[in-house]
Amino acid sequence: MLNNLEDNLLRKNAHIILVQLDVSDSFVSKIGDYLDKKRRKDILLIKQNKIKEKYNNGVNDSDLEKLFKLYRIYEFSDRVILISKEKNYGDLFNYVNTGLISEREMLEALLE
Amino acid sequence: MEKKYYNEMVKKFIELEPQMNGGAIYLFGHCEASLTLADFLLAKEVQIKGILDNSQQKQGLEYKKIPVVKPDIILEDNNANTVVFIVTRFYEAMNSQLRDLGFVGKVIKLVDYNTYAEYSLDEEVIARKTKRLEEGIKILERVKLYYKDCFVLLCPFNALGDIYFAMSYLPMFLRKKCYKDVVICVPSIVCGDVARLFDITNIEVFSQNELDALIQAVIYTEDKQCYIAHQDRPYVVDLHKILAIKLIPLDMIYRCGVYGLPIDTVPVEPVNWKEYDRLNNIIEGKAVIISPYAKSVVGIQNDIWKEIVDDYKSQGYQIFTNVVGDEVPLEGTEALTAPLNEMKSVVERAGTFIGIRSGLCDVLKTANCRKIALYPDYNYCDTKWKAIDMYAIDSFENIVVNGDYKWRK
Repeated sequence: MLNNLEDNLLRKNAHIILVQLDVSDSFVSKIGDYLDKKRRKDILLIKQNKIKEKYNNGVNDSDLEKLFKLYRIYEFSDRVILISKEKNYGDLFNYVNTGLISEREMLEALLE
Repeated sequence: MEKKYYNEMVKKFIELEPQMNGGAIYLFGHCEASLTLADFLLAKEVQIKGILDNSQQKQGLEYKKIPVVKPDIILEDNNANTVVFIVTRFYEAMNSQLRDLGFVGKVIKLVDYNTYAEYSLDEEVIARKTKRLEEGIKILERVKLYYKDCFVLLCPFNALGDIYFAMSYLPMFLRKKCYKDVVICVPSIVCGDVARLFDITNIEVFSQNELDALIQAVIYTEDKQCYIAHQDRPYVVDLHKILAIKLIPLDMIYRCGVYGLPIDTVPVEPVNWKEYDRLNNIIEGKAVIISPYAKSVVGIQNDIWKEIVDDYKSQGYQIFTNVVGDEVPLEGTEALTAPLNEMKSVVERAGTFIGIRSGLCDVLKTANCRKIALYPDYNYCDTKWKAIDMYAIDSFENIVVNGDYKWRK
């Protein structure tokens, strides 16, 4: 099963963006729009419990839950990005919320 | 490079040496640790063909005649005898990059800097990492049981400056989190000493591996009573990524990025100072304390330190080198070792402090004397920003030491 994840996700995509449930759908859409504009078809955008359909690689929800869990156990790839709002560490949202950078700059920093 | 890592590097190299078959040798990553390894190998008369680095700013540089080159140069020596040594925490990413390039030689990690990463989904790896996580959860439970109702702040990296920034903004962060009491978890006694300067009393010192496991447990459990205070560690922290497009000095990274505090938040100052008991040995206002050593910063050439020593000597100054452990004082100076919380009294008595830009400069930020920080001319991590852009301190004279630099008398 994990080999399936490795084959279907890690080897097929330049990067995988894991978005936790606590991140709003509107922000996920902004990421999606950014990727579309940049024509980054090699980046897989996944929201917890919900794969964006157009990027679905035939990986089911249960496997994705395992992926989210595993990424909190160790760094199994440097091509995975975890986006969450309620974290117990600092993140790029803090820069946006304090007015230091714009949301556009955050997306650029995160995705380029 | 910290001594324990240096010893680990030397031990591993000596074990591997008999298996090396005369192939080309490369290092990956132009950083202080790699340069320390280069020095060690050169002293053993081992030839290094190049230092691989992804940073375009670094490609073209030389270190002791070893060129810094882009990683795909390795394909010119793509055979089983070629060896790439790695002594940075990015071993997994570097190894993966070399394999993606098609490199078939050996990629060897000489120091285990990063227990979080292993780029594999093998069952054995998952089992091992899960065991590590379980150990971390046990440590977390112990900490929370002992420090009931305390907020748990984790400082992942053994660097004085990082702890200093983390402590400078902690009171405001605790207020935001509605916590009164806190326990600080650090990877070394001296990091705990920095926390004590800020009147923190609950301090737990862990080995780096234990602390890594504890932090992994905090990531896994998403425990809201805990917080990891760092700008680029562990792997889930993305704050440093903004540096690819915008310069944000380290102080601001901690204030706004790590803690999410308003831009105009004023840092608190350390208060828990003591007086050095041998102050009378220092001539008041006519002495200089030189701090030439830093464990994770590229060094400054001896010639520069000699110029500084000669200059102050000609002016009749008493000159001390601040040393720790087996560090050697600069020629013509006296060794001075003082506890961290007494260093402010030492430099204030002397009147002048000159140091390589290290965490000690942060600790002495509020000392009332002439303070000079010397910055080796290097880029911060793999960014286009220079160290001085990231680390300049308002209360210091900040000076970049590049190849042409001469000490101005």
